[in-house]
Amino acid sequence: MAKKDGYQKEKLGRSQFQLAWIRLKENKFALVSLYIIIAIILIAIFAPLLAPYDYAAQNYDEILLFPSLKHPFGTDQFGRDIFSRVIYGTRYSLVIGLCTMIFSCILGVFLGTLAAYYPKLDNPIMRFLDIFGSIPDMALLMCLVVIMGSNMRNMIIALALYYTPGYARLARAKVLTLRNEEYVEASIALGASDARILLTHILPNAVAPLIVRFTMSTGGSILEAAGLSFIGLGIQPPKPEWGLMISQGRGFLSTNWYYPILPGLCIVLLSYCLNYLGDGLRDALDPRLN
Amino acid sequence: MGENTLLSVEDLVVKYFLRTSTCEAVNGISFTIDKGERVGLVGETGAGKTTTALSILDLVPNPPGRIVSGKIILNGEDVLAKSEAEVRKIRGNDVAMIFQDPMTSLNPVMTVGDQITEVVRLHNDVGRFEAMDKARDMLELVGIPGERYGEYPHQFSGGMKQRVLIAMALACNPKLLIADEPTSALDVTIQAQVLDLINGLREKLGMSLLLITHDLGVVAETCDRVMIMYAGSIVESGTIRAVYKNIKHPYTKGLFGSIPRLDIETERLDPIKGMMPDPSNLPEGCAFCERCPNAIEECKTKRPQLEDIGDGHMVACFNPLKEGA
Amino acid sequence: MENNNYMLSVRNLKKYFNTPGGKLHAVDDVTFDIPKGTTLGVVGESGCGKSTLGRTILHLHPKTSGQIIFDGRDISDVSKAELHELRKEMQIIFQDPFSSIDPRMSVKQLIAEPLKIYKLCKSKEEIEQKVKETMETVGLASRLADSYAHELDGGRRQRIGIGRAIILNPSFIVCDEPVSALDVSIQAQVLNLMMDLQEQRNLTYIFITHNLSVVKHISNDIMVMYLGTAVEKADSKELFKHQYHPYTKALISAIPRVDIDNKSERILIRGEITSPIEPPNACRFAPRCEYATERCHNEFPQLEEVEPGHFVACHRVRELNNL
Repeated sequence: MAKKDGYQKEKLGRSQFQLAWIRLKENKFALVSLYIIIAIILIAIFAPLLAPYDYAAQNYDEILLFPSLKHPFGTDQFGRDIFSRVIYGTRYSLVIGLCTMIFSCILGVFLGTLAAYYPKLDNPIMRFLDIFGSIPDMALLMCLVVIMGSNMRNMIIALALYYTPGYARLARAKVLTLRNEEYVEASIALGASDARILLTHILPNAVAPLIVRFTMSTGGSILEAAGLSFIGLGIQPPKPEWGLMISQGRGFLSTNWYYPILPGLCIVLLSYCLNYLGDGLRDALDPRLN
Repeated sequence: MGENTLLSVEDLVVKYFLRTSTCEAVNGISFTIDKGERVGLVGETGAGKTTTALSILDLVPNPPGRIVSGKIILNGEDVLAKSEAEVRKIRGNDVAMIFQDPMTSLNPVMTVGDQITEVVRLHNDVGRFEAMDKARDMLELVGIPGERYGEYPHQFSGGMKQRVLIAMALACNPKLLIADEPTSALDVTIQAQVLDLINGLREKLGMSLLLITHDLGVVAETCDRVMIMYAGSIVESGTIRAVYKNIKHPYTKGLFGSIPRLDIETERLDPIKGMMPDPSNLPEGCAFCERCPNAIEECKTKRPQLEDIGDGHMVACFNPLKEGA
Repeated sequence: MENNNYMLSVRNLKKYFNTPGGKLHAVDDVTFDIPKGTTLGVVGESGCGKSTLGRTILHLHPKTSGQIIFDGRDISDVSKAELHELRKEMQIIFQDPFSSIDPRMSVKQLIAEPLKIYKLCKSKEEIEQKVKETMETVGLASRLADSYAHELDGGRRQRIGIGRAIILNPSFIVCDEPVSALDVSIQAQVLNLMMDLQEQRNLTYIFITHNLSVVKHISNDIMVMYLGTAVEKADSKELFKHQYHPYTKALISAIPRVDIDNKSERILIRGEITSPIEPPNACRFAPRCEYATERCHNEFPQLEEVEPGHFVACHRVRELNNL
């Protein structure tokens, strides 16, 4: 049944990317999320211009002030402007989230693809990753950070390692199905090399679920990082990472609720947006909806 | 409408409303099926055959599809005017349908016997054991030993699964069996078995048959009458002999020219040029106009209607082929 | 011993797959020759091993045993590098034009891919030129060059597949059910195209299909397969006039005919295809054959020439057909 013909004709000659964008635009939640994320990225880049105060400047005349025009998010126990600190905090959260995901994605896809494409490597790689994945997440992260020393770089490495098995499993599953596709066999029959088949036929077709996972778990990794900072294993004060700010402000929850709550809301906002965007991308990148 | 008419479809129009366009799947077709008659509906992918069949059971997926206008009169009653609950009674009871793909039409975690029993109980007020006996009888009827009642679909081959589906469809003695490409997924020798079975059962149970297929050979061997469908319209219909021996519509001729014949030596096939028009953007005139070697000026502006040219042989064409062409 | 008039000779080719239930005999002891510029039709029902045969010849599956001689050269055991070179000469067209084409590549990219793999063209312009020529040859309008496969119908997709197969100028193509997924009118267009190409380029085809009318139309010789073995082999016209194997008889009689005046009596075969896993060393068709004797259940029949050029593998062929 050629029910979809008209829809296709309109899109004749457009690339897959353009088609995905057309579909993404139809999902309002995802689109709004995308704009918010772009805004957050801009805030991170232009933090010094946007922040009214230095994030580390202490002012003992103005400690624990309630939000006002002068200090929109109030001040903390050292008189630092929470609004400025939240703005600078976007930098840390985004860097942690994105770096973690990029490293774990590259490593995971590499391992997963090897495991799927060369059956001999399948068991060694995947069983090792299974062992890795069977350790409770916080315990694993804490061990890694404690062993390597607690700073931002090590925290990113630990988080990246923690997220690798997920990507590997996803990539392996996808490659396993794709390598049995007839068009892959068609390329083998044409004499294409393994590298060509992987790079031009398999990976581009596996990109959609990876992008979705990427956006979905970026939010997760920011939360994990906040968790680590919260227990003192991530970013060290006075740097204004959001998780760290919650950790420091938790003692003031009953008297100055805005101090831990506002950075917390930022984390919630960012991860919600990433999740909605991921959701939207999953639909937009599904070629069956063409 | 005659005494003997079982089903009469009148001016049926079905459209699919898509996000950016409207697909005209069925454009005002009318036909009747008599009691005990075997009718073939032939056409290519996208001609609207399946949509027509689904309309008879009011099963067109909605959204995006909708029956825009028309009547479907079964046993003197309009199916489309009935409530959902009433239509559900018709499905399976008066009209049963078998689908193309026997692999996906059965529930893999239920035994085939239980699946037939379920259908029997759904439409008849009978006890569990009575229904199970009936299911066993149905299996025997389609040539499967009753002992296989307790087996699961994966233990059956494709042809056997199609037999199970036929047993299921016939479990309630329907008056009309709609078979949508029942043998397209099967090998020729198995296809022959299944067609023989359908034919034999039809005679035994005295029901009517609407056979939907793209295979002119299957129709020739199974049906009394044939309707050729193109881009949502019936372009030619009549008895098998009338249509096969005296082709009037250029599209029908093109279809015959496209199949390699076993009985005639042909060096080169004579296919129809081009492709079927986009159903969401049908031309104003005859839908076949652009591919038609016989097209005249009139074809570009007006849609031809089915007209009787004698003996119930109907053609929708302004410039039909001459005798013996 | 090699005859240079043969494009391809296959000797005692076997392909077994390991399954949990034992060895699956997909292709069992198949032998044939194809003269240059002709078409061998391979017919049989699903599961008879015809697709596996085509793929094993192309080394897409490693063979279990047997000999494959291509253009006078034994290619049964070639190295990876030799195979790479050979693939320029031997191509395949797949059945399903919807799954055999990478959905993320445009028509132009798809047809250019073989050129890129073999680095045959020096410049981008040369590639463009060749792609344009090939698109014209297979009847694809040049305005479709930037379209994606999902925007095209089955017939055009199959033309892409044919374009990819012929752009390297191969001499031999395995056609694995190339028209089965297409509507009849489109099917006829594609068949005509393939026959034209064969004439222009002196191509040799193995045409694998379950559609007997199509195979009769396109083939010079036909081989009928049943459960991994060849049961009958003859010139195409001869085979449709006289069938000697009980399976071939049933198969040909089962085709629904358009000709309503000359109805032939259908021979129905009992039951369904038996399991190809560890089959007994006997006639594979015996369990369904009404003429089967003790011998048929115990001894494997070899192909024998019952009439010039007409080979049948049946113990009782002479007595049943009065030959």
